[in-house]
Amino acid sequence: MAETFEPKIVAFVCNWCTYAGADLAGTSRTKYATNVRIIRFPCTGRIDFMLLIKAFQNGADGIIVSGCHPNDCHYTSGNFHARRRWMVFKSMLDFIGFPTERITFSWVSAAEGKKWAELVNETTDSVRALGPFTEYKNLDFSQFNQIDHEGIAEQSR
Amino acid sequence: MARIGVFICHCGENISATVDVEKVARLAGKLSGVAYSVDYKYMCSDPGQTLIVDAIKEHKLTGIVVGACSPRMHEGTFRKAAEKAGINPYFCEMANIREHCSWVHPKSDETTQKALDIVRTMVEKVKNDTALYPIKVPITKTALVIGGGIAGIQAALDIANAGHQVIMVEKTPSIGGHMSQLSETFPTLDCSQCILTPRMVEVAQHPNITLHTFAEVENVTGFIGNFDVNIRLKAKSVDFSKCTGCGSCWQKCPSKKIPDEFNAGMSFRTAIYTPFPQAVPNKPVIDRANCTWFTKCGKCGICAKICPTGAIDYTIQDEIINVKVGAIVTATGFDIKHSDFFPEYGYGKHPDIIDGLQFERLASASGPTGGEIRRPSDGKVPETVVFLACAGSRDKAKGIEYCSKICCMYTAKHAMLYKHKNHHGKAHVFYMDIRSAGKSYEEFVRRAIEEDDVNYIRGRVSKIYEKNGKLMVVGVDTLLNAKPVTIEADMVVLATAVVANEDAESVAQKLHISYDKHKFFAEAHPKLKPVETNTAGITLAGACQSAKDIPETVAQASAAAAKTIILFSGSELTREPVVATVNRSAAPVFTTCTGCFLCQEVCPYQAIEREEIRDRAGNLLMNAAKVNAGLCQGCGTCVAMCRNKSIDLQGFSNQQMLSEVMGLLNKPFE
Amino acid sequence: MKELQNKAAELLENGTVNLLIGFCQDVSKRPVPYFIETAAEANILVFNQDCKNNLSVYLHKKEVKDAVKIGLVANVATLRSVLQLLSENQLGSLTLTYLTVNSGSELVVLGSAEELEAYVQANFPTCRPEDQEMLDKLNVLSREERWAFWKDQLSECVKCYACRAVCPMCYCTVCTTECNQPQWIKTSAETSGNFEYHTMRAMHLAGRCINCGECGRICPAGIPVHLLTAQMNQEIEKEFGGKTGFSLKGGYALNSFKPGDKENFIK
Repeated sequence: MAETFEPKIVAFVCNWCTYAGADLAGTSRTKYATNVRIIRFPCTGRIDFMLLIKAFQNGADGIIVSGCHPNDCHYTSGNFHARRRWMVFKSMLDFIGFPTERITFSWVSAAEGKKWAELVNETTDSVRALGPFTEYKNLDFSQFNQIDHEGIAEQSR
Repeated sequence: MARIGVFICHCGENISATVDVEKVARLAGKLSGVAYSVDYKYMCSDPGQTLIVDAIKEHKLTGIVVGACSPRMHEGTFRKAAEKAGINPYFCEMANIREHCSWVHPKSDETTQKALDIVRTMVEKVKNDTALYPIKVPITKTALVIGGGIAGIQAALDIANAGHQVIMVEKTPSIGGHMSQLSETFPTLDCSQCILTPRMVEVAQHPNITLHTFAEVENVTGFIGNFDVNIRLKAKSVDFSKCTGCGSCWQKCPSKKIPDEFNAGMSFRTAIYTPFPQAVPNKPVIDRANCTWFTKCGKCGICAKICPTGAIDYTIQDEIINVKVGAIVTATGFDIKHSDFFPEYGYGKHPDIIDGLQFERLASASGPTGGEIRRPSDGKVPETVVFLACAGSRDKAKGIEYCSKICCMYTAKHAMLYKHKNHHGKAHVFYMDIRSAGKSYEEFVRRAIEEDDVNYIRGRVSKIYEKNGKLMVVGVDTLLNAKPVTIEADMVVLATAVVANEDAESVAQKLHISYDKHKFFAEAHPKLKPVETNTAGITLAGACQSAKDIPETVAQASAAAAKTIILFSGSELTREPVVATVNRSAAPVFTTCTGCFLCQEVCPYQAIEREEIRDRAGNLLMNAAKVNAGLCQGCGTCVAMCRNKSIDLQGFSNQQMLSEVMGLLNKPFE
Repeated sequence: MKELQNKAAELLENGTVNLLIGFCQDVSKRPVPYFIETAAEANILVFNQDCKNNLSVYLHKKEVKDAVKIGLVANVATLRSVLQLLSENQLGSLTLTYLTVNSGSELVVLGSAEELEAYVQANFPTCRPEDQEMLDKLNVLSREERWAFWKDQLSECVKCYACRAVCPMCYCTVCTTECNQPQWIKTSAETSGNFEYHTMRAMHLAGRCINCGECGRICPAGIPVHLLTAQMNQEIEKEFGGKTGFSLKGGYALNSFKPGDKENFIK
């Protein structure tokens, strides 16, 4: 049976806005793609860019980073710092040649359940079109194909 | 060695309808570190929690993951259960497989796989949890009530009567709010001011309430139990300690043509004024933007000459005072839409097409017409009045899709008041539905129709235009097979939408509370937490949260007061220990912190201090960062800023977040 | 040169300075860093265009810190890095005197932080032409070509951490690479781990690096790692203003914000 590629999307979201917005999407039974998995942070200011790199390295095909709209941060200014950090991180990734279209940054508030669902669907569609993120996974063994990364990781554990 | 227990909830059918919960429980049991895994119909119920407590004791579990609803719902419930079983409550995490999984996806293998992924992620986090203990901070037992309408008044009285200090801030010169503008209230047709003014006086005279009128909140910092608030006392230009409220000043003021806000723009007031005769405090202020002395550099000054006590002082400036409070009740109220939302209705083009508040002022005995319903254009008594319900609400195309709740009732009331004052007049109401769900509300509307002969037409109005001195109201009667109806009216009253105040957004941002797209303030949970906000210590009362009538407003205000009194009932406040800490170790390392203090600069709560690290001889070795756990709110911005990870956030530590990411993506099995 | 040696001897003689860090020539006629503590040693000091090492990196070492009164022979890049370090609260315990040679080949002595700031601001260097050329070349490539370039380069990295050792801004006592609970950065020299390390380093230096170029010069594998931070600094200056190593007050772009910051990439 031919398996169509289903991307793995990891979402790094803040507890007060986007997580609550996703909860609202749930309470409203809004349906969206199953590909996303949420990791909860207290604030987008807490999100370390190293985690994004780790996510890609370990199999994520796409990433969503989302938090409160500017001026609405529960902790006042966390999202402002995050915004600057993301801008710098994105330019650095662009410079290295990393496909930054695989990362989606957004502001989703606690009342925007619908926006969350749309964001997940859009991101899933665009990452599916980009295909699996093999460039990063094949960095270490670029002379081979079909590498069982998990198997190797399992053996080395 | 971790011994984690996994408890998967069916949530009735909410989760089990789309997720194979038995499979998730079974596979979770095979994860490394999981010692026990089970599924059950209702984990949050009594038997469900007993199941968890018993399992912890029997299998000597060191931590638990409950796969169920959102942690925003029940994290507290399950943490208490864990505590009851004897393990630190912070070894309990929730895997959100309902709001984020079962409710948003169809029944499929992918959905079950996703639930398993989410559970696995949280198992990895729990393995890295550390025991945390609540932090105790003192509480300032003073409440701040923002807004002096009926909501603010009720909340302030309740809190003050419970024995606590209250500071009330009202931006207009008098408390009372919109309720003071009403003539009579439904369903009893009580005189609004008669039931309101005794309460207003009680607030002014209460020993525990400090009232600041003509004042606004400038900014708010701090957190629950310890808010620091700056209040701007706007320059009244009148020294209240000398003013006796005799009224000589406004009787002689030459600037008499300023549209009167209290009378909804249907009459004029003077530049020095009290908003209405029963104002509390009953002392005037000067509207500097319209006062000749201020706009024309010192010309005039009549009020100062006339004042028998010399209370007028043009040199008074705005003053900022600082207060420390423990809780804030937000009762800032609402407004109604005053614009020509439907241009075809002609609001603003013809003076006899008015909105609900303007009709209240006409009907009010203290209003511009002494309580007689008269046309604003020529002062004649209208013989036919048409009322339009839903003139701006329930309309998705126009951006106000919600129902404004109060209009069906006040439209019936307006029609009845008109008929009571003009027995031979004709009143027509164009409506879509009649929403009269409160106690005695339906009987009230029936009374309008059956006893007061108000003609209810089910249909909307397409256009209002003037012809031969009459207002032609063109509508349709859908109950008579969509028969077109045109009524020649002398006056039209539009029930416009209830909207948030213009400055609602800036108030919300000052308080750091959320608001929705219509700028109504957001409650913490629409069903179970209708008065609290997501910002601990700040509650909501009244129409600032959503359109509501007076009985609901009073109930919500008392509820907000109750929440505040609960907060003040303890001697200390126990705070969640999700705070940052900077590592410390023995000499000669002391800490890996390099003293760059980037963390200090980004902390929104000034919670990071500089600590001097000295050797035994007392020589200064270095300055390192230190977190004040009492101030830290746990946002973690400092953690992401620290290059060498010397500062970490308990509850969302670097180890935990990384293990979540790795646990999610590195599947040990399919 | 003679003037420099005389001045150095004078400072050591009269006690203004306990330890002077400068350059001398080794047997192959290359200038290498050299520490002197007495006036008598001052006559072997040299200073010319080949003195590229950023000597401020020694200011973090315990032995140097113990001497307290330090003299530093520095080029403009080194002076910039000292200014940046001062703005990051790193050199509080030291009393520094700086010896440099300006564009007119005259000796300049700077005795205080304020004098240092004034001199640096007056002689602020621009991006080196060879670096700018490389950056321009890379920025016109397509994304895939850039990825191929960096993959090619970073696969050569052997994780010797020389770039970190030579950088004055890398002063963390325990670097994140050393952290193994959790293991953020893979220590082995696999390309993916190299990407992690260099990405992390570039992010930690973005807005702090003063573009001395030492990391790229010193890399035994010949990887132009200095270009990563040079590019970041240009982006940051463009978006948020502010130059690194420019003022005592600092102004690190990443721990401040403006309400109007760019967010056209955020949905």
